[in-house]
Formats: sequence, C-alpha cells, structure tokens
Amino acid sequence: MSYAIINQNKYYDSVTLMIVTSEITKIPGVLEASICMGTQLNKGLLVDRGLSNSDTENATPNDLIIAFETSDSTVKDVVLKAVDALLLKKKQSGGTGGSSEHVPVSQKTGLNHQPDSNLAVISVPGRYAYIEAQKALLSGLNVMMFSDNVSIQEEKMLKTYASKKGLLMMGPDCGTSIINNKGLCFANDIRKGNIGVVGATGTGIQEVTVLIDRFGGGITHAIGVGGRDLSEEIGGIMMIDALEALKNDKETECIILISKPPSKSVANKIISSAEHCGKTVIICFMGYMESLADRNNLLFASTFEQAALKSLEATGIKLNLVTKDLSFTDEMAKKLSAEQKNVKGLFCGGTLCSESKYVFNNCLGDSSKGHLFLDLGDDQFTTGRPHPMIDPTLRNEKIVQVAKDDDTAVILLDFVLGYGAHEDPAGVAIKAIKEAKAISSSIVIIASVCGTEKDFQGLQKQKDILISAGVIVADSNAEAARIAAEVIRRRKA
Amino acid sequence: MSLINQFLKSDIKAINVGTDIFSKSMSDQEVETLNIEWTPPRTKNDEMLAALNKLYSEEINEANQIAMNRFFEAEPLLVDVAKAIDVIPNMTPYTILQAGPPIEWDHMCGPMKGAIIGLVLFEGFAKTPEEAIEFVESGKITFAPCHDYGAVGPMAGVISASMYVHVVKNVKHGNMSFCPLTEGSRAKVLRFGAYDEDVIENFRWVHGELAETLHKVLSGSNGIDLRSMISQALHMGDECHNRNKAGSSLFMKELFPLLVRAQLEEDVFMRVLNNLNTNDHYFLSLSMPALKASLDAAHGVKNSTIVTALSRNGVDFGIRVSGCEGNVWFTGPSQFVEGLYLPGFSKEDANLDMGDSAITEAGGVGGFALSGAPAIVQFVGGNSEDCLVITKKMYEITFAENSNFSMPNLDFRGGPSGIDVRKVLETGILPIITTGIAHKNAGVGFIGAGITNAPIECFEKAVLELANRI
Repeated sequence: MSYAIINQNKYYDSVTLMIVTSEITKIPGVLEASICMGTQLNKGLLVDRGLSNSDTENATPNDLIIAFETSDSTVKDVVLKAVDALLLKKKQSGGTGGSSEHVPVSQKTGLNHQPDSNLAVISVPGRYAYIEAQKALLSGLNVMMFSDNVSIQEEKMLKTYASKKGLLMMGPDCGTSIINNKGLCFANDIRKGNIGVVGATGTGIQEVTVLIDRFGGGITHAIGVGGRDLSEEIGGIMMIDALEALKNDKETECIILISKPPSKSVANKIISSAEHCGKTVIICFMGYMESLADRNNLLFASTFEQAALKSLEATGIKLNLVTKDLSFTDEMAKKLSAEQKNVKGLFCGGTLCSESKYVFNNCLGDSSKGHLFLDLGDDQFTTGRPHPMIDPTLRNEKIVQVAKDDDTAVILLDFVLGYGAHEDPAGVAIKAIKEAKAISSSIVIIASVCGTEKDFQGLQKQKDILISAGVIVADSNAEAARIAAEVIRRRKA
Repeated sequence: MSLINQFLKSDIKAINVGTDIFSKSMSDQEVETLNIEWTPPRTKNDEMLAALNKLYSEEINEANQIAMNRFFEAEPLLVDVAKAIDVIPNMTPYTILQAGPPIEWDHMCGPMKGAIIGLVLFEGFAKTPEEAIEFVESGKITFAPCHDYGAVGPMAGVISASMYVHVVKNVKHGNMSFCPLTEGSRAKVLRFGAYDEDVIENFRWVHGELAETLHKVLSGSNGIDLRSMISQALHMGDECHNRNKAGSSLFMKELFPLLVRAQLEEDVFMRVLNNLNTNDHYFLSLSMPALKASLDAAHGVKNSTIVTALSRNGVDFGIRVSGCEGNVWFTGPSQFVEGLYLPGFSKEDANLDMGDSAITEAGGVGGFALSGAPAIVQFVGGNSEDCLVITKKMYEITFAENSNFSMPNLDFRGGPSGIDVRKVLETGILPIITTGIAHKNAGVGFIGAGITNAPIECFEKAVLELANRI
C-alpha cells in the first residue's frame, strides 16, 4: 500500500527529515519511506522510488511530503503518528521563547534579538545559500558556510565582497573551523596552542588538528575556507586573507596551509605570499607537493600527518618518533587466499580518502592497481541522505558488501569524532564488522579514529570498541594506509 | 587591527541559519547562538531566485535608506478642503478616479460600479441608475487610479470633479495629496457601493454644506499636523486604518476652536458638529492622505525595493515600489477578508478586499500597528496576544523602524516601517491589512470588517522588474 501525504507550508531542514526518514524505515511493515520537502530533486527521487502521485508533483519546497509504502494498511497510522512525534521533538527543542514570542525567521530579526553577533553559520540548501551569506556580509557578519552546491560564480562574488569588507567567508562547502577553541560544524576538541591552520578541506583540518593535539601541541585557530578556494576561478581569495590574519595574530607562531588538489597557479600565488609571511609556514596541498623542497620559512608536507609533525617540530615540541615495526602484519597476510589481493577503503572523510590513497600508492608504487578508495561523502552517495559522518548507515552496508567480494584482502576505514559527527560511529559499525569477519575470517580490517580524548565520543572508548572487534587501529589515517600497504606487500612476498 | 583579527580575538556570537545540529553543538560549547527558523524563499522558479539574488547589495540598501529617510522626514499638514477639479492636477469634469490599480468598467466589482453610478447621479450626468450605467457605457467617463493623480480614496475610492477633498501638503518636500471627505457614521454610503436617494442626498450635503464649512474653517488655520496626530492616536488604541476613535477625537480637539472662531450660524454649526462628532472613522480620510504624501516623497528612488503603496480595486491588488518611478503597478488577485459581519450578512455576501486605505499599512500603521490596537482583533476572534504577534511578524518584512510611530505595547519600539519586497518573497510573510468589507453587489454598502493580506504575486512581479532594472 502506497501513501503520500502533503502538509503545506511546514518547512523542516533536510538533515532533520533524513533522520526522521531513517527512523520511519525501521518501523516493522514499512517497505519504503521518504519524508522530505517538495523540492524538484526530492520529487524526482520519489518518482524513481515509485512513491509519487499528483499531490507530490504539485508540492513546493515549503510543503512537507510524507510518502511511504507499507505491507498492510494498519501501519499507516503508526507511521503518521511516528512522523508527528519525531517532528514535534524537533520543534520543542528548537524554539527560543514563549508562545507569544515571535521566533525570528530571518537574519534581520535575529540580529535584533542578538545585536552584537559576529558570525553567521549557514547550512541551508545550496541554491538559497547565496542570499543568506550576502545578507550576513552586508550586516558585517563573518560567514561559515557548510552549504554546498553553490555555484562557483556565487562563491566568487561572496568571497570578493567579503575580502573587500575585511570579513571571513569560510566556505561554501566548509565543514570545519575552530575559532578561539570553539568548533564550528564538524570539529574536534583541540588543545589551545600556537599553531594556526588554514584549510580548504574539512576532514583535512580535523586530521591535522587531531594529530597536533595527539602529539602534545595545540592550535590558535583553524580557519576553513571551503574545498574550492584554491581553484583557478576562486584564486585562493580566502586562504590569502586568512593567512594574512594569522600572520598578524600574535599568538600564532607557525601556520599550516592545507588543501585538496589546488590549481597550480593559485598554489604558486599562495606559496609566494606565504614566503613573505615572516612565520614558519607548512604547506600541504594534496597531490602537489612531491617535487618541492623546504626553503627559508616554508616547509612542505605531502600528508596531513607530516604537516602536523613538521608544525610541532617548528614550535619546539620534541618528538621521539621511531619507525613503527609493521611485521605484525605478516601473519595476517599469510592467511589471505590467492584471490584476496585488494584493499577496499571506505571513507567518510573525502580528503582522508585522498590522503589514504596517496600514502598507499606511495608505499606500493606501480603495483597499486585494483584497489578501491571510496569517498562515501561524495555527492553521488549523499543525495537524499545525510553525510556518513552524521549517519554511517550506508558505510556499514558497504562494509558487508565488500566483504562478500572474493578479491577483498583489507577493509580500510576512517572514524571521525567531534562536534557534528555521529555520537558513536564505532559502536554502530560493529555489527557490520562482525558480519564481514563472519563472511571471511581472513579479511584484515584496519581503521583510524580522527578524534581526541576530549571529544564527546571519547577517542579511547571508540578505539576500544574497534579493537575488541578485531580491528587494527592505527594512530593516524596515513598510518592506516601504510599498514594496509604492508599487508598487501607481505602477501605477495 | 583588521576585522578578521578582531573576530579572532572576540567571543563568537553566532546566528545559525539552517540545520539546528550546528546551533546545538555551538550551544554545547557555550557559544552564544541564535537559531533562525529559516524557510526557503517563495521564489517560484530559477529566474525569480536569480532576480532575488541580484537585489542584495549595498546600493539597494543605501537606496532604501534614502527612501525611508524621505518618508520619515515628510511633514504632512491638512491645509484645505477644496473641490477636486480645482486642486487635483489633470482632473477633468468627466474624470472619475477609483481605488486600486487601473481597471476597466467591465471588470469592476459590484460596489465600485455602485459607487460610480452614485457619482454619475451626483454629478447630474444622469437621472436614474439605469441612465447612469448607460452614460458610463457610452464611454464618456475617463477612469484612472486615484494614486496616479496623487490622491487616495477609501473602499471604492471614487473621486469626481465636484467632490470635495482633504488637501494635504507635505511641507518638507512640497508635494500634495488628496482624499475625499467622508460620509459620516452610516452603513449605506457611496464609497461602499450604495447609491439610493438617501445616500445621494447625504452625499450632496457632505460635499456641500459640510465641505464649504470645513473650507472656511481651515482657512483660519496654518495647517494641521497630521503626522503627530497619527503618533498620538497610536498611543491611544488606534491603528489608524480600521480603528480611528482616538484620531477622530484628536482631530475634533484641534478643529473645535477653529469651528468656534468661524462664527457659523447655529444650525449649520450643529449639523457640522453632529456629523463630525458621531463619525469614529473621520480620521481615516486624514491618515490616508498624510501617509500618501509621505510615501510619495519616498517614491522614485532608483534601486529602492521599498513599497510606496498597497492598494486594491476589489478585483486586483496592486503595489507601487519606490525603485520603479512613476505610475508602475504590480498586481495580484484581491484577497478575501476574514471578519465579522453586520446582522443579516455573511461571508457569502462579501466583496474581495478593496480600497486605497491600505496606504496606511504601506506607511507602517493599520495591520502593522496592531500591537497597540487590541480592540481590532476582536473582528477576527483573536486576542490581544495575537496583536503583538502580528506586529512582531511585520518587522520581518520591513526595512526600518519608525520612531515617529512607536509601539506602546512593545516598549515604545519604533513601528515596522517600509515594506521591503525582497523580504516578503524571502520569508513568505505577507503584509497584514485591517479593513472594512463591502457587499459584493452594487447598491448595498458596508457589511463588516476584518483582516486580510496582500497577495504574493505583486511582490514576485516587483522583484523580477527591480532586478531587470539593475
């Protein structure tokens, strides 16, 4: 039985609705469900899943659609009651005043309530994000924009205007910033210190700051600028402004710049402004740094791990790093069957996926073909569902799926902790991990946990959960990749 | 120190727009955070969204500030009561001005047709209602919106050459506005579409003895300050659109010494006094031209997205926007009015929203000032709490706050002022209007009062055109 109910002018954000949808899907008797707003995209998805009708076709982005299919008609009321209860919970936790109090629906009235605001955090759907950011900048607010799917022209306009006004435009598609010890969007609880970070990669910032914290260092600020800042079109506008700000920030002694693969000319422009910065600058631009040697105040790193270590050395923290003995992998490698020759990396963090692949390929050289490094936060996996850092369901499904492939030797995973992330990512993965082990006892599962002890999920607690399920837990994402490579190398030997 | 460095040195105070996961995690870290109950803008398609995107700039905010300053600085004074043909520019003996955006006779609603029939009889162009219709249909009458002639009229809003109008001068900017004399406290009135003999007889007296008396009385005055009268009335339970008890009393207080000084014959004096004293809505025909003169001063500022008129002809709702100079209208369908009816009438009898009186809402009073006029919400079965909520909502769609029109029940905060077409589309919140209800048929008259809103179509069209002009 198929149902589609429309509630006009009832808006909820997509993250809330995706969580509600996943709860509804768990109700016995529910075959399919989608609780969503009537956007063009969602309506298309309903058609694909056979949940649409003429009512859903006419719904607007401000109309709530409750569409579901059940095995029998008695489930209908259960579903509707559950949806109401879940949405009511959100309403009750969301209000800011009594019944007569008008809850601000726009930034303008928000600023009347809180006139000395200095930051707007924007996570509305990308097509509407420009207006919100532009209004914030016009009001003199700095902007942290988590929204993605903002056009590159709009990003350019916003960053150019912000730069002219001397404000920070962090994003679009900015997952992480830490300002004055306060984590914005996805961020870990990092010790206060003297290293400043500017990053055009969210999980990259998380990994670098977590490693700094782990080795006894700390940060002043970590400023996210959005994944496209170092593209040809944007030209690194915000990284340059943020670098300038950290240069003038007295507490910052050393600066780390990290990015997803940048445009060559933009990378060069930023390197040259870093050269005149007067502070030690460590630069880690994915896929760009191999050929560059350290010079003057500039240090180059090819992984986040290396960037973190170089920044610690530069600020006088002595590290006694001994090359880890990875011979323990020999035993596991020997148990692998002849078919089991490939690594399956399943990542929540996009840049962690890139780093892992880079390190892995570096270890194995040319013989690295056939392996899989999948970013499950990529658009193709997140359409209509929350990011795997918020809801790891899809990744857990994938773990079982790849375990069934005959060629799988190693499953490589990342677990990201901190604000915004799932409350127990390791815990909810255990079932899938055990299932994978049951399918093939010889599969090696390697993971790294990006988090600190102060993160509310608890680093050690998360690690212990994984270790007790037989997972090898590395000290960093890069190390996890090295262990995986070692398993493959020894398998051949 | 650069702004970014200042930001890095200070405690974060955040406005969260989007998923509340992020506001919760900031609150958990003791960051002061305010969550906005954001909803997508009501843009119908990509073209409209792109147009709205174009309208967020410093230039537009500056233009809006200029328009608002002109509105705030305007000083509208009642200077005269005079014959329309003598004072309204471009008026001819065969011109009839009407409320709202332009409309042809064939498309007019019942009460507007009724009012026009009444005026044709009043002007002596015909002897019976049938002859009057024939006269109009022969094409001898030129119809035009009051607004396009600097005038405003309540309900049908009709003005013909021999009618008398209040003449208001904005002495700050020099522009004039006009509004017909009101017909007194009765249900069967011409502006609501009634035209029987009794109605016409009263109408002749209003535009005869009453008008001539007021003309004489006002010649002894230096002009009556209407802006300050609105300010005071707002502190006395009026919202200056559908409740005018206080404003009418204040006006009488001002007029009384002038009436006495004019040394009228006693019976004339008593007839005039009786008419004015029993009319609790007299002040509407003064608040309207006062706000029209002030908003016209704010009209024609390039790039401004501020609404300078809200107006309806009973079929179409029209708005004018400062950035579109001259007589440019953006229209949508007139809305149904939720309200209370006189005994014997129901919503089946009601005409759609009508009249230029929504100029009061464009000027930041009426529905926008409901917070101080709790008596009004009884019309829609609401309570005084609802009044506060409505005014608070109107701040979402206005550009400025008007300290001249302060809201007593909101700690004398400046009233919501300057409807911004961008914000209406952005929030989907429509301007609230308090208004009277006319019977849908010609010849009946006033049947109730209530609350309604402007339709979104006007604002959609305005946004597209403003973006087009940039």
